[in-house]
Amino acid sequence: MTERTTAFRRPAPDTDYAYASSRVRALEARVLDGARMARLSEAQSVDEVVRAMAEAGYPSGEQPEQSLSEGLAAQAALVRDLFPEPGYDEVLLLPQDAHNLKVILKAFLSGQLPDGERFVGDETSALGEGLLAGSGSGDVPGDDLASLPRFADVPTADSLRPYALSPSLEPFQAVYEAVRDRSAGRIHPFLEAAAVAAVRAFAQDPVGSVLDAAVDRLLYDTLSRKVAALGNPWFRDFQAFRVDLLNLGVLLRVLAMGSPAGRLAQELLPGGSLPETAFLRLEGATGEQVADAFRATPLAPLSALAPEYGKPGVAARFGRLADDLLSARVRTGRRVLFGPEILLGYLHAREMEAKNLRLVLTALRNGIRSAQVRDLLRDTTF
Amino acid sequence: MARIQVNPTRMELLRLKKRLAVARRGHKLLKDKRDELMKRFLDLVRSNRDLRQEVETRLAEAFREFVLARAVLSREALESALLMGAPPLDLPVDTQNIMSVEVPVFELLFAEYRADELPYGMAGTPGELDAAIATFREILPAMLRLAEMEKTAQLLAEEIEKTRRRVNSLEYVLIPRLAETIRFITMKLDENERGNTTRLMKVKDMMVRQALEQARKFDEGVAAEREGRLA
Repeated sequence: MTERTTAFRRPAPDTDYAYASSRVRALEARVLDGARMARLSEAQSVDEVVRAMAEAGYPSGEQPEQSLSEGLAAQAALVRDLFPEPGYDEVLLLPQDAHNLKVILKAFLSGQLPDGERFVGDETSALGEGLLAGSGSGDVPGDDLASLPRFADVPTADSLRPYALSPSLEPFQAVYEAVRDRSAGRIHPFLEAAAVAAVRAFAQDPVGSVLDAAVDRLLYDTLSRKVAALGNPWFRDFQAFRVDLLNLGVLLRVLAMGSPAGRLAQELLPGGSLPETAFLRLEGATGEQVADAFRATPLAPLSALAPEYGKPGVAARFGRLADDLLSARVRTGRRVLFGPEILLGYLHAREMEAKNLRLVLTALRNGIRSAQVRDLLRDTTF
Repeated sequence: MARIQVNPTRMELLRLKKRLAVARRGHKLLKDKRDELMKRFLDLVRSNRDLRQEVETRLAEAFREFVLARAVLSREALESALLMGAPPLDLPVDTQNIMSVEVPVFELLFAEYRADELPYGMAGTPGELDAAIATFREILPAMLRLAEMEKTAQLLAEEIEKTRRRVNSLEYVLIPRLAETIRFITMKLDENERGNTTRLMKVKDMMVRQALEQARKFDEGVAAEREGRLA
């Protein structure tokens, strides 16, 4: 088992962060800023984008998407190595592991249901029987993988690898084997607990979103606890704000879909600065009521979109605005040289840059107007 | 028009006349079939055009949202989000007979969908994906109806083409050839008839001439005998 803990972390000397921040500051010059991205949005060919990517430090290759993923992973790895304190790599990589776990569980579970039959109450389903025998709720801390029933007809790890993210805390093969063999204690405790919670939740309601939501809830719970344990108030606030933004998005999406009661509670993420009840009490509310409810919070610019959420293009505008609010939050830590702020800000900027490049590439391939692309470009300025 | 190579006999003439009557009746039936098929085809094409426009408009909307979602998600994240897919659906295929053309009839049997039944969670995916998935889901029955109509139109068009070829073949090839052959045999038989008549008349003429000669010779003999007796 690869137990990672921040309990015995030694405080990083200021000079370590000064060195890391200086190195990252040097790297920041290569990030494609708003002006360069705006010019790039007028690109006439993919080659122009590839050239710009090469200038920004992405490896050259025939597939720009591949270069983008590889470049982003390389930048993230470089910055993770610069963190003088332990614990940050775990917080930064855990979402990748959660993604890989979702891929494995979805692949394992998608073939489990006999056609036309519900999972729950189906006595012919060994998985359903086994799960229902020992489960009460979706999230059962303490239960390990051995408590899961055997998965039948699982696909090979190689067939799933193209969907996996790398790097991750645990190698993809290790997670795959641990879940397949139901071996307890071989992978990160979060992954083990998330696998059990997700499979149990799926047994109750066999829908992909339920599985993802179970993993995500546990992921964000774990992240908020680990971020709090790192002891950096800026990072804690940043993480909480990110969760708030996600929760507002979830609320608006649930309202737009007219989802039944209970769906919002399933999807809301823990660890935000606003309590989950602030969102739950708006279940069934109108867009105007949502906008009013968040008028006095930092989410006000986003909640203003609530009345028109669901109309074409509004979700995309919401996504851009949410990212820009996060970028604005990142800029509040720009002056802190002796902390992780600059490093985390750089990672965020690179993520936004990757989104912008994907937007431009997708627009070029699908004939989206450059004006529309410019409207959706994320802020990458420091 | 080339005629059919047959013996110009009365039997053949009767056989060909029967074939011509059948061909003319077949031609009329096929023409009626072609006209009815054309009518059905044109009705179908009109409804198909409307449905296709509706489907294409909605698909364009869905793809616009999907492309925007794709633009802000990595390939792996998108693939993972859609890995689980939708609940299974049944598509029994029956057939319907339109003017002897077997066309498919699709019946889409959905498992009951909940409006919020998505293959992915909301935390890791952008909202644009919801609209795209919802539109794709809503549009599936219309797409199947469109597939059914287009396959029907294709089969009807093939049948119209086949019938048109048959009608043309009867109208411009078989019927004229039969008519020509019948005309040829009739002429041949008439000619034979006239030949026979001429021959008979000739024989009759010869026989008359011969009888006249014999009569003349008899008369001459009688006259000579009378003169000898007088002398």
